[in-house]
Amino acid sequence: MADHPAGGTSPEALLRQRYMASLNRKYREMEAAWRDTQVHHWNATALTRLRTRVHRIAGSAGSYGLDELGELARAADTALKLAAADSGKRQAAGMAVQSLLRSLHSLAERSSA
Amino acid sequence: MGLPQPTIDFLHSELLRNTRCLVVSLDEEGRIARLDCPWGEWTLDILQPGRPLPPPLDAVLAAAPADCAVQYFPYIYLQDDMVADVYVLGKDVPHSLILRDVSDMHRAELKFQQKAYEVSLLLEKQAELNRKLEAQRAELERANQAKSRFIASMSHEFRSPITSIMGQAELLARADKESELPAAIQRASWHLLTLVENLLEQARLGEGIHQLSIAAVDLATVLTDMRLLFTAQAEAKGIRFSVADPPRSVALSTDELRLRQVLINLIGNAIRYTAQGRVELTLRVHGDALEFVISDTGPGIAAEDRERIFEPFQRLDPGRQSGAGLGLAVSSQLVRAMGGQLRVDSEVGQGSTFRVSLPRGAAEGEPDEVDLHGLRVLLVDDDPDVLALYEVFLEGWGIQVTRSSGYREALEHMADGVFDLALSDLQLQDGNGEELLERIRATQPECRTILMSGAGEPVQAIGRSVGTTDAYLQKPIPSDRLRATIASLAGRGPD
Repeated sequence: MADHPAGGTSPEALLRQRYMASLNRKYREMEAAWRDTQVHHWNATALTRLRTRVHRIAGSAGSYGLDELGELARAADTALKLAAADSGKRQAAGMAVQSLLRSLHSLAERSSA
Repeated sequence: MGLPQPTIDFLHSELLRNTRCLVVSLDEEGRIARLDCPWGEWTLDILQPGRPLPPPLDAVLAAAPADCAVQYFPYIYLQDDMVADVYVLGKDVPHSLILRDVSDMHRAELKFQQKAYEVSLLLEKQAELNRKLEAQRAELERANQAKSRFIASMSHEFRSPITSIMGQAELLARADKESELPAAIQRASWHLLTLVENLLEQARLGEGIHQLSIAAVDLATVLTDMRLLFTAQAEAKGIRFSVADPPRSVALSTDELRLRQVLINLIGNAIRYTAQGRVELTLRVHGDALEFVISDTGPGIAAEDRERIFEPFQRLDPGRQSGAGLGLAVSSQLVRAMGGQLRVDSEVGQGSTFRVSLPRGAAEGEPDEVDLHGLRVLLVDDDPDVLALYEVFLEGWGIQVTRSSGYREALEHMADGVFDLALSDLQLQDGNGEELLERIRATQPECRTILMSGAGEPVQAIGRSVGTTDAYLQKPIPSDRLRATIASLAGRGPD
């Protein structure tokens, strides 16, 4: 995203800064949703809340230049969808969510440093 | 009861309480002194007061050790089919024997043992059958693989001379431009090569091999080649074959060889089955998908045949038309392997339209210098980050953006205003984005629609959205792709 030709920062760049600043909150919210999902034995309400958070990252991260985060989120999105239909797939979904959380946490720490 | 206390105590134990028992009390000479039945009536002819113990009870008494207060002898056979557990009480007092009737239990146990034996025989038989089945399956698998290897080998052997014939025909055509013979030889060779390619592909697909070679496809060349390949064939039948020009600045990345094979199969079929009228090949862009449409004025396909025609060796009219029945099966599998979908729309007497939808792949963003100023766009997404970013993109292009974070809010905006284009995410908190776009089209038919999704299954979304929305875009959407799609739908760019 280039700087605005008239000087100052472009709207896209400002939005990107805002997005990066929101990563910490996104991490905390997703981590809480993941914990709830496990505590409540993957019930539909907790799982839906988690999937919504993962799905949003899947849809937005790439647009803000965070391609790897977006890929991890898409993988977790797909894995959670499968786990919702088949409890045997929960372990794989859990691993995908953990990978996403690690990446999100790492990015959040770097952006707030 | 007049019995010794130890006997009474034992009778009232958990073991014997309320079960059918007979107490046989003996005198000091070992004769039966009395018979008592604590609960209910039970007599045995072999036991008579004043008589000695009959066999086998006399042997039971003799076997009881002297130092044991109670000795247990299970399953003693008495008269007829009567079976009793026998308890011998003490040897330092006048003896008592307690008989407990276990005839029913004994019969049940015998029956159970018989059944267990029969089950074990069945299990053994089943294990034997499973072994045979496994052996047969392994044999079939070996035969199948051998067949596939044979087909692949033979097809390869056929391909070389056919290619040589086609090359010679090409040389003949250049040397004698007047003669029709070289063209006839080439057409027949193409037909033969197609059959061989389908056979080889069927063998490859049978072994689960999907080695695709993905690269940028020159669409103009592919379409031109199809025109050159089939025009003469169509004209010979008196039908018109037309190929639309490809959309400007549209790129496709896929396995070009397999794509050509699919188009050759579909166009060849269309011409073969059409007696009069036309066959057309056109292209349509749907955001991230490209659709090849082959339509004809042939006899059409009945509803009950529309699924089976995609199975191997299935032909609609085997008596009248040539072919091995592999073309559609192979095409369907190839398209799936390329990440796309092959569908047919057809009614008997109304011709057929085959649609090949393929993801456009990592195509470069098409250059676009189109002016989008003043375009009225409704943008719907429940993710505020996405909404904010795309709004910035759209407004940067001069577009008037109305943003909405959900289904209901979007419908309110539609009721209040007119839009040229509506973009919606598939999954909204309060509804389904595809349904929203369908409703928008129903109320504002001039409004074009784009469905966006971050879902991990783009092929299914393509198949679902084509026909219900104007375009589908998979997130993350680069700004140049978004702009090009909007431009093409708004009638201000390539279509």
